[in-house]
Amino acid sequence: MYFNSQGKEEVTYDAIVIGSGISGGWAAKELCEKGLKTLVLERGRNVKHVEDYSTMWLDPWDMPNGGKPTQEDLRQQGVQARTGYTVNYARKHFFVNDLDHPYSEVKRFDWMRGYHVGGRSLMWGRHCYRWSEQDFTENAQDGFGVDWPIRYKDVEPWYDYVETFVGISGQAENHRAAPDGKYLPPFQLNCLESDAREKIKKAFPDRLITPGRVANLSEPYNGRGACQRRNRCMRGCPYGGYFSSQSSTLPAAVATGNMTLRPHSIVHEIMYDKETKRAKGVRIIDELTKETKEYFAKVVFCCASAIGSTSILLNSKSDAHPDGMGNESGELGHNLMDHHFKVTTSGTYDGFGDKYYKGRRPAGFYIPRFQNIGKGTERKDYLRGFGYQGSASRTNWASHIAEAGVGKKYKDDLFAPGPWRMGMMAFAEMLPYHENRMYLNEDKRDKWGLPTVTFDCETKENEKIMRKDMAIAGAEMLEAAGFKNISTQDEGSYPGLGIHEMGTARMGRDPKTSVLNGNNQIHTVPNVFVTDGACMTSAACQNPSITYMALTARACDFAVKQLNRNEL
Amino acid sequence: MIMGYALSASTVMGVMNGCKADMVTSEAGWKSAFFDAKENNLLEIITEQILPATDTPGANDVFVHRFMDEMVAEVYTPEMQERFRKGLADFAADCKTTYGKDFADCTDEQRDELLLKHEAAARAMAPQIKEANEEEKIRFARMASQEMSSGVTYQHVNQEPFFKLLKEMTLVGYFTSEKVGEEVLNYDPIPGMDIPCLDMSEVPNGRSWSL
Repeated sequence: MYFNSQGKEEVTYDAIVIGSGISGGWAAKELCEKGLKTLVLERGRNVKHVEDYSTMWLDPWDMPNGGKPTQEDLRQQGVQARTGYTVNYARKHFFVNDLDHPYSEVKRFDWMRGYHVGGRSLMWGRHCYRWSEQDFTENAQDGFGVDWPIRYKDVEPWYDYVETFVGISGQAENHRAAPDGKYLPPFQLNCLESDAREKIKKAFPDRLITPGRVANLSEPYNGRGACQRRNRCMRGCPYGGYFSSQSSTLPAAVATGNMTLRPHSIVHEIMYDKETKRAKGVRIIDELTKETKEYFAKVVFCCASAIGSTSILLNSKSDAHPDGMGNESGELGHNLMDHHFKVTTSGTYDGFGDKYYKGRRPAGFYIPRFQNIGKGTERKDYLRGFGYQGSASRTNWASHIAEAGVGKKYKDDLFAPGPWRMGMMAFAEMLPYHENRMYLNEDKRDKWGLPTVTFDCETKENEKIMRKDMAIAGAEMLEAAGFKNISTQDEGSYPGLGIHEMGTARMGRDPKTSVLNGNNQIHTVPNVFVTDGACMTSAACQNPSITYMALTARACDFAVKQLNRNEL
Repeated sequence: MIMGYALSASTVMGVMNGCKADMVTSEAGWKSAFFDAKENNLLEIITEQILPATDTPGANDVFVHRFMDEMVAEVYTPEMQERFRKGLADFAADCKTTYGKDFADCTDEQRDELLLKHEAAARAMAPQIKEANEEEKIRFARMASQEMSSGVTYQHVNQEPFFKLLKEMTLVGYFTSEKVGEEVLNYDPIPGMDIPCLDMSEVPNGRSWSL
């Protein structure tokens, strides 16, 4: 807590940042580094870097049932368990208790949340791919959604800026769907992946296997330790080997002396001043004591995650904003998107029996989008496109579970690595549909008396048709690379499962059809910025976090310049 | 709690916060959470028969049947627990019918023969996918629209036969045990760097990584 010279708790700041995750951490760093006294309000508990990573060293035998969730775990985190990996002893403490944080689904929506300092920057997948120019123009081209008010050239210097701080390991490829960024040396492809890359490139020049571009440090960088190739990132890293608020942005903010971090602070309303026509601050409920408090600032950054930020805006009603702050267009809560995925292709390979690998890379490979990217790649059956993440590895004892056999010979064969396999999973774009939405349910309130969220969102025809090609295109690649026993599977993908929920407070050129302008300001409340997933006008197919970071840094730069010119 | 036996009791207590109170590592003190004495003994013999000690540890060296007991008690649904228990009872009964004695008293050859017979039967079974019935569908839909969703996310309930469950837990319990993970398979907790293309000739004993 920050005390002023009278010894009372300080409630007035230059800036308030709501949320401390991927975008909130960046807003904290940028605003603090530019000299603003900044209050960062995080709804959940504090998680201190390294000190609070309780499972970071555990091996499978150190965890009950090898880490598998118990029936009691599933009772408390039944929704979080829908991913199949979040409710594991190693990491379940970083995902919410669903009994405490209920919500409603008109159609199934798998809402995965981390309510603590750092948010999902602690548990994210760390893949970072820049948007291309096409991603910013596609809405305008095919008429779905509204035009982005920015272009790649507006964001490009900010991609440079954030990548330079974060440290992304990757390989420049000059592929039109995956603009190259600022990279540390990549986590290299293994023997089979390299071989497949060459064979696939020959058969399909637009289909490129490249090392996954991840926010893990392949070598020490910027005062942080190198990734040790343990692949236990989601537990928090004792080496600071990957980007999180804890390892990277929050320490930078702390170093300025300008940051006050208040955990257990559930922001539920942004207070509007009808005289100045600006936000004047926020109201919180303390998570633990349920006290209500007010904090004041000249500028507010909403970085509470897409659904979180929009919930706050919907709940911020006033005479000027009867339907929620920034909702003059009626678009607040609408145009909800996520990536759809869970179409997998895999196969076995006869060869490289004398080769193995050492170390557990934090990334496999990525295949950038190769559909509808111009010049001979046009599809007649669907718009937009998808990329793949995948890896090749040698099987181990686990693949022998399904094989018949008992006894000495059976057992002795289980210790050696088995044949090589490669698998890949497609991540795909979901169109912005107005009717896909979330809204607040005033009748169903949580234990803090706040309205809960209801989701009404689904994938539609374009997504369903695309999924067929996601399987076929993947199988084609494996076939070209000489794989056998190729199988494809569509396990079904509900919105939310991608954990890339986006939209609901979209940017746009026209205040009648959007919530935010090209600077991430609410059109009608210029001192409120939204820079998390809520601001997204379309989803593209790339993992979005690096884009959130770039937009946040860009918006902070703009906000501070405006403040200094007294124009906020 | 079943652990690799190398850990001291205090280490176990320190790591296993929230585990059941009566966990101990010594054989004499261990108490099962689910299986009775007869079931326990049978599983101890079955698991060792599947993965016997050779120049590498056997299932009993790493207490696989204890791992199994905890898994069934805490991770399995009530329906899976009953499916497993019935399958085990049917297996024991078939032994009596086929050989006229308990599994413990059978010869090595008889035991292997019986296990392989049951394994073949399990593998030959068509995937038992139980379609959610109307009640379950309604329950799922209702839960989906209410705040509280339970762990039920499947419209179909995949019913793996007993022997498949047994085989899976035997291998998982064995290969994720501390002794096998650290001393038998190649243990590399902090690789430091990755070597993307490594000759097998440089891999100790030609064994796979445990992690």
